[in-house]
Amino acid sequence: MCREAAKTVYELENYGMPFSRTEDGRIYQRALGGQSLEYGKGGQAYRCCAAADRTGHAMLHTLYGQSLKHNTNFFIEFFAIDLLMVDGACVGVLCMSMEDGTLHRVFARNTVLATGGYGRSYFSCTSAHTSTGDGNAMVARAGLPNQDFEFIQFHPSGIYGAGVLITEGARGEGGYLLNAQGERFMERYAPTAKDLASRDVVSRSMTIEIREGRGCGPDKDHVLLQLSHLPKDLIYERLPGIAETASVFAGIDITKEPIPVLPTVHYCMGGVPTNWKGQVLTVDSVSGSEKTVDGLYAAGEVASVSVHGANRLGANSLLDLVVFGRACAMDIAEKSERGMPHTAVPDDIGHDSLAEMEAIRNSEGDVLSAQIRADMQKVMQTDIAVFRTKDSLEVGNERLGKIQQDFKNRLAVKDKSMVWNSDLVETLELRNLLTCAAQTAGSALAREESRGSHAREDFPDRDDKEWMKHSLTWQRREGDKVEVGYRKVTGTTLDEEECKAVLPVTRSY
Amino acid sequence: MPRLSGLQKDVLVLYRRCLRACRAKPAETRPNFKAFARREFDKHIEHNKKDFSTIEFMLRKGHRQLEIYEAPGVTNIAG
Repeated sequence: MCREAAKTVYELENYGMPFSRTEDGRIYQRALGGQSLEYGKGGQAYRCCAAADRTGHAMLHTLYGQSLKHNTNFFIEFFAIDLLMVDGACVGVLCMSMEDGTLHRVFARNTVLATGGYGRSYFSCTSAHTSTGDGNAMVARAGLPNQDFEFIQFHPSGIYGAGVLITEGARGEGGYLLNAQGERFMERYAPTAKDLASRDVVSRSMTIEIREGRGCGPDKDHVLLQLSHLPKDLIYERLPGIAETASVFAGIDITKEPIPVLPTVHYCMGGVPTNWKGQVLTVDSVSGSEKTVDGLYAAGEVASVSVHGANRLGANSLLDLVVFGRACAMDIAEKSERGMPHTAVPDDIGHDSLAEMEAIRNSEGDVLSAQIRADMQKVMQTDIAVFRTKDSLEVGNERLGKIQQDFKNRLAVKDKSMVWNSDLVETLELRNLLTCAAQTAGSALAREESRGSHAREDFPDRDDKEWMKHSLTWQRREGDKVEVGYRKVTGTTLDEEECKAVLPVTRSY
Repeated sequence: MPRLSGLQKDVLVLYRRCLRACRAKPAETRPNFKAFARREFDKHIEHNKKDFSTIEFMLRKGHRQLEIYEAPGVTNIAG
């Protein structure tokens, strides 16, 4: 990924992505949390290319424009329900057109999952309402494992109340965090990197400050991000989106006042395990060895290659997406051509998924799906949060088990139609969120050490001897017990000549 | 035959396009497509012929459905 990064930036720039520029016309690069020179010993690195403070937005529109150029068929307002599997290989997808309520079985030699993460399983998150772990759940229902679900990244600067994200670039440009006493508390926790320490370190520091009573506001439950000391034209040139977001969602003028922020769920490091070509991996139940699943690829937040490990650095998600999305495409182009035949499938493939969906649509219980979702989000936010203990995780697991039973037995879906049935679609999304939440809770309880964003108060140190491995979780149906397994971490690079493997060291900022 | 109104001609144009699209489908599944087209039109055959806005809406919806289903990749239809 690091090798392909520069080429990828040039390619995006050639597609027309509007990067910010320096005075002499080169692409502007800024500092971002956790990026350093000489593997941590050379100080802060300034290598994150950016387009003001909305790089992701700019990339989305650039790539969308390019895809329209290339004869892509878009099925708009189609909701994917399940993967169609034949003999352990993926042959297509079952989906529903929300616009007219018709169901479609789409057969394809290659399916690429790019459905995003499952931030919405928490009460306060920076993700969109559609971030419901659909790809992860479809893979789980197909009997395949998901990897490293216990690593959920809490971004340090989500606006208090609304949960909207204030990009890390704000701290990269010179912003810093203050507690109620007006102190730059990050200097105590990370003397070298200060506010640009890695996100999980900053989130934990903020949580400790709040817990020890130095939080701001009437409830003392958040801290402040100060940007008013920066020159006004710098703010308006480099961080215009934040100026607007802060004024809309927090009613604050960032050139005069600090922004109230709180650690908010931002990214899910875990996902569908893939190799460096983007092919989905699974563990063969008979021989216990790893193998690829034919016809299935994954890229982006839904996948776990895993280049982020237990904690993701800023800007790496966009890079991961572009590099491995392209890797999937190249692998598919190598193996397939136009007009190749499909595998033969049984006539009734997908009928069991349909039967489940029908059962959900006709449910006549007493608890609305919105209520079940709210309960799940609260449980995740209290029990499986920044700091975890054995008790909180056990209580969380038990409560999630009860919520899953409620979903199975007491669900009520009021809207019975098939056309634009948002009740049904949100219930299906809730089903996906529940399995993601259950697998997160299960693997968090099993991992007895602290690593990256998984911080356990009862096991505060990192244990490389025992726990340097990926967790795999399986859960076929909601309410089933989550099975936890493990997989070795790949310690070597693909080509030792080109780039030597970097050995893990203790993190200290 | 009484003179057909513009709107009635539009409906017939759509039906004719549907039947022509069916001819391009594989032989085993062609009757499924023809039956589907017939059913979609039969659903609203008793509709009031003066209700112009609803008929126009159904025409637009029908054209959109035709665009999706006439693609060469769609090989069978059920229900």
